[in-house]
Amino acid sequence: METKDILLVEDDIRDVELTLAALEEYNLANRVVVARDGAEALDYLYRRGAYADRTANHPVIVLLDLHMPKIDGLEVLRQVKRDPVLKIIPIVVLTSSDQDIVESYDLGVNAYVVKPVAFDGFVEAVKQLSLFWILTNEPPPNTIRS
Amino acid sequence: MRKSIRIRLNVAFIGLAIGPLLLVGVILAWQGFATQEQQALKLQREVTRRVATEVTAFFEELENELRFIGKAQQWPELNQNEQYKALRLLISQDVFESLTLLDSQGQEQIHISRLSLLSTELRSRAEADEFVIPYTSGQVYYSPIYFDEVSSEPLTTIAIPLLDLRTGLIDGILVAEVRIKRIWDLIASLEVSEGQSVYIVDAQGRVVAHRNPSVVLRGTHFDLPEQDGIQLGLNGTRVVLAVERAHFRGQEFNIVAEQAVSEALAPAINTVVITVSLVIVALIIASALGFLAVRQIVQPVQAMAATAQAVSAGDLSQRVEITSQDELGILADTFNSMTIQLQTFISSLERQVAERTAQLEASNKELEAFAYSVSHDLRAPLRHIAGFADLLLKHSEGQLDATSLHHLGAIVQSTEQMGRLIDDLLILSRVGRAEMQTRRVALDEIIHKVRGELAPEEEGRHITWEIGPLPPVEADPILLRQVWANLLSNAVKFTAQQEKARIEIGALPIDTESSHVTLFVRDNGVGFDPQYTHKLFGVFQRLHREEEFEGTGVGLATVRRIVERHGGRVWAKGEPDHGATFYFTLRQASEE
Repeated sequence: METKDILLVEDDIRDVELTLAALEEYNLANRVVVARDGAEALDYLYRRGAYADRTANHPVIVLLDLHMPKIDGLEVLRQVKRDPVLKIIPIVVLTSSDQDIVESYDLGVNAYVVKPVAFDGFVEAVKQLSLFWILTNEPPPNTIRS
Repeated sequence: MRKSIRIRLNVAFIGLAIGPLLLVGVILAWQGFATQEQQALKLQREVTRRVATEVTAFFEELENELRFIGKAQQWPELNQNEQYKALRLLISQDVFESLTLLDSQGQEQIHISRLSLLSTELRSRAEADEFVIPYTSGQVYYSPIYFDEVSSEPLTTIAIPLLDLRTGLIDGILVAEVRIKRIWDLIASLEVSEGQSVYIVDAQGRVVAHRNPSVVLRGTHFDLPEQDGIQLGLNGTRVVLAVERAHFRGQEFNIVAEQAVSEALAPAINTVVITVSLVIVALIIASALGFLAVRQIVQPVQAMAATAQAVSAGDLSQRVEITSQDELGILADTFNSMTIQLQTFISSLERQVAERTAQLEASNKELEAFAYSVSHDLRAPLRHIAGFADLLLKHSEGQLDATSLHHLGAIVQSTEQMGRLIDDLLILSRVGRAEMQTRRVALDEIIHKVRGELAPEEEGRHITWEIGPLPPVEADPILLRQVWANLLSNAVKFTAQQEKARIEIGALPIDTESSHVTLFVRDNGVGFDPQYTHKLFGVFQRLHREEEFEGTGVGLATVRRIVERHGGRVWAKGEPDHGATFYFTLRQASEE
């Protein structure tokens, strides 16, 4: 069975497309679940609403945009990092500016990436992220895959 | 020194009091002296007149006495012995020095003197004045005064013709030597005032009578002054003096009365002393009154001056406390209402300024927030364009012709350029919004770090850096770093075409009077046309084409924004192909 263990939270469809294109370079695109706003992301993580019968494990990483309708990224970050079970999931903020960098780290973000304008740069950033958080990093044992 | 109203008023007040007082004093004293002099002179004249009368009376009496003898009917009848007895009776009065009886031939018949009563040696005086003059004229003869050789006493001779009553012819002459000394006693018996003396001077200027005998006996001379008044007296001192000329049968007596000026004018001097004392007392009273009056006037003025100074120094809550209804009260009221108006005016002005500042700050913040979000929101579509162009490039490999590939490349480059532009704009807007935290900053450290960041751009270049001694400045280190980053990256960028680039960093000599230091960055790059200097520091202003030197035209605007926020100034000098120098000023760090 195909593992869906990368949660991409992004409202802009073009950014979704580009992110997937960047991840595709490393054959990671098929592992991605896309949530189009904060509410959907929380539903997925808490297995609520449309995702009430999700069978997949918790994601190994959440790629989180900040400026979104309904519930924004900072709120998602706040709830996840407050949750005793979910808080160990690494969350990487992928955003257009460094405006919220301080607050994000205060809330416990694991990495904060400002998306470069040039696509090459963006691909490079995604590559670094993937290498570290998805392909190299070992999550704490027996906690997420339950 | 500032002359206070108090001192000037005091001086004026005392002056006003003293002037008339002194005038009155001087007039009184002058009048006192004049009056006193007249009175003293009058006193002297009274004395001399009295003495003159008495002297005349003395001689008249003497003459009568002598004449009485001559006129006595029995006289020629008397024998010589009886005549002698009569003469002895006369001489015993101590008035005559000698008495001589001459016959009609001038032959002495009897001669007796005070000391040797009867002389036996009788001689003829037929040639002498005392015989010839009375004998020929039938008048009584007075000789000039002469001094006795032995006693030095002044004497005068009186010769009286004796008539034979039956024949009416001159039968003989009675010659009497009269002792002037008798007049001394007369003078001595006078009641005189303090410092006054009376004496008699004869026609030759000899003092013949004086209360003090030794003055006469030693032959004192006195030149009579032309007129009465204050003259030099017998002792050579200044005296009030009067002379009475008494003539008696050709005999001249000058009776002189004098009184020392110090004595004669004593009452006037007393008056002056009293006047001066009164003036001094009046002076003290006037000063005291003046002081009080001046204080009465000046105190409110001083209070007002103090309040005015306090108000001028900024304490507008001060009020003048004067409740009097006079001009000063009006002045105080006016001043107070002026201060209140000023206070109202200033507080409303302050309120307005505060309101405007708040509005300005709000709109500035809004503007910068707007610039920020615009820049921010522009990035997303830009990223999309760049991303999809790149994807297009990859997916169409081998399917697109050269022109299409070139166009795609242009799209990618343009997006990158726009990305830099937005980044710089974000920095500029952040510079304006960031809270400044100034502290002492060592410039060497910052420049070292900035140069480290520029290292990639320096690769393959030959750049000589000359960094002079730089004083520490007072600045926000993060913002200041942006200034150096922009200026130094410009310097590196615009010297790219130089084979041997030179970049100089330094500080102008410090002006001791200024709190600011001027720093500069000089390069030998392409420079700029001075006529565009004013455009250098504007946003999006570029003096070179993009193909020549890449850049956004925001860097120098950011430099200016930061320097101006620090209270400094920025300017540049340059010539095309002769490099450029960028100057900016910053506050010097205070001594540690």
